[in-house]
Amino acid sequence: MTELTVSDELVERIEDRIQQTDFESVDAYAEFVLSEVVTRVEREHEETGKMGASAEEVQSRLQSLGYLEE
Amino acid sequence: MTTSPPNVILLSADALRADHLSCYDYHRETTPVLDALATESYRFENAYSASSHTREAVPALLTGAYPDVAVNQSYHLATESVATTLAECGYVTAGFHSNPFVSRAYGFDQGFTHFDDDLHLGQHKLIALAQRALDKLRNRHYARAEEINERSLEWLDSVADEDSFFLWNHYMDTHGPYEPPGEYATLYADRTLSGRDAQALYQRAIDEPESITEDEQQLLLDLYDGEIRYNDAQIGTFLEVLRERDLLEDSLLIVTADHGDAFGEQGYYEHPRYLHSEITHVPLFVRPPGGDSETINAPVSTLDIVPTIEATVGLEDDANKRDGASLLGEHDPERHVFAQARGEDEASHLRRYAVRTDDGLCFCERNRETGEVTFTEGDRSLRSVVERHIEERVRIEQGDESAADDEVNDEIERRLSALGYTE
Repeated sequence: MTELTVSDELVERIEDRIQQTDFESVDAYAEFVLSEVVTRVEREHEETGKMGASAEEVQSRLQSLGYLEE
Repeated sequence: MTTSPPNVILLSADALRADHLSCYDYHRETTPVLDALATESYRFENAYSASSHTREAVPALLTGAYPDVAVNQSYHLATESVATTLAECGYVTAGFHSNPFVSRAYGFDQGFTHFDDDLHLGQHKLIALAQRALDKLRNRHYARAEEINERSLEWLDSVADEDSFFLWNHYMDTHGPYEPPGEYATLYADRTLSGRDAQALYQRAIDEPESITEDEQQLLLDLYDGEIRYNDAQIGTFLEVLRERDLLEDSLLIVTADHGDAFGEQGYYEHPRYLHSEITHVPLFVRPPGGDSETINAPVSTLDIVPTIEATVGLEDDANKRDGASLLGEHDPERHVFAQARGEDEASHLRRYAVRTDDGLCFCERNRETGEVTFTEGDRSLRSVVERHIEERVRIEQGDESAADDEVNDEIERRLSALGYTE
């Protein structure tokens, strides 16, 4: 495990927030939020990379098969 | 002692219309290999695709579901395919083709342990660019059957003896532009075309069908038949290797096409979003493990392929779940076989439907914005049958949309709740 530093103000806000949730600690809440955000960003990046590299190739193939106008 | 479930081999050809095969009474001997296969298979004289173009036809073929639920609005695979079902049963699964419409970009690798769509997705952009430039130079539009065979046979080498496999090869040779390779170029045609000229002629046939002369129409047909004969020979080579490796006799083998191809019969070429017989009547051979031979005249659908596979590998037949029925069971001569196609461009608000019986057919269009149904051709006596079918399809499609929305909402709710947004 690695320790991260966040502002006292944010910790206080999370402490208020977790009282209304099932999270038992500020650490658990922060880890969940970070993990959710990073996963989403990674997924979007992966999708963009996959389609970005392929889009032109797909277009080019479809054109040669008569599906798209020159 | 337990025996492994049978291997399943599905071979499909793109844009191969049934009435150009010699065993379907064509005047040329285009398919000696498939003619021979018919002597040890069930050959379906009246098989129709669930649609008329790859983006709706292949999803139906692979899922056993009508295209309206098999793919979403963007033509991404939206229903579980037979590859997933078989993978869950312990099969090793592989697909080999080169049609971008059913590539990884649209989610068609789902359920396949090995999937080769001939695209260079995920590779370094420079390699992909170089490959594309080379393809253009060589006028290469897709991977030839020979390459598909090599790739799939190499994969078969990696399958352990004790594993059952599902293999799908989809061949593009019969798809335009028609430029049969080598000796096949002049097998039926009296002249050859350069790759560029073949592509220009094909494109003009699509864009300006009225400009195609009788001579050019005949040339397109001759070249198409040459492609069929080439593809047939390649399927022969592939089946021969399977036989040598003792992988054919006890397997379930299905050979079919995703849709047909038109040559001006209805005023258009290629396979636009209509449902005429030229573009929906497909060849269909089913060789059960051990082989058997029969010609079946009852109308059937490519939707029946997945139930046939499921029945053969011993999966419970859930008649309520499937739109089709096993091709190895009883064949109902009175059956109604339906097809559908989404309109595009100025017709994108339309969905076309067709029904076929052993001696009749009926076409109609439904305006998706107003719900209005217009009958365009065919038997009046079949109109009520189509109307009932459309009502059911619309109900299912709309039901699925709201079910999908519920799923998304549940997921959002769960996440919000976890973050403390809702009490």
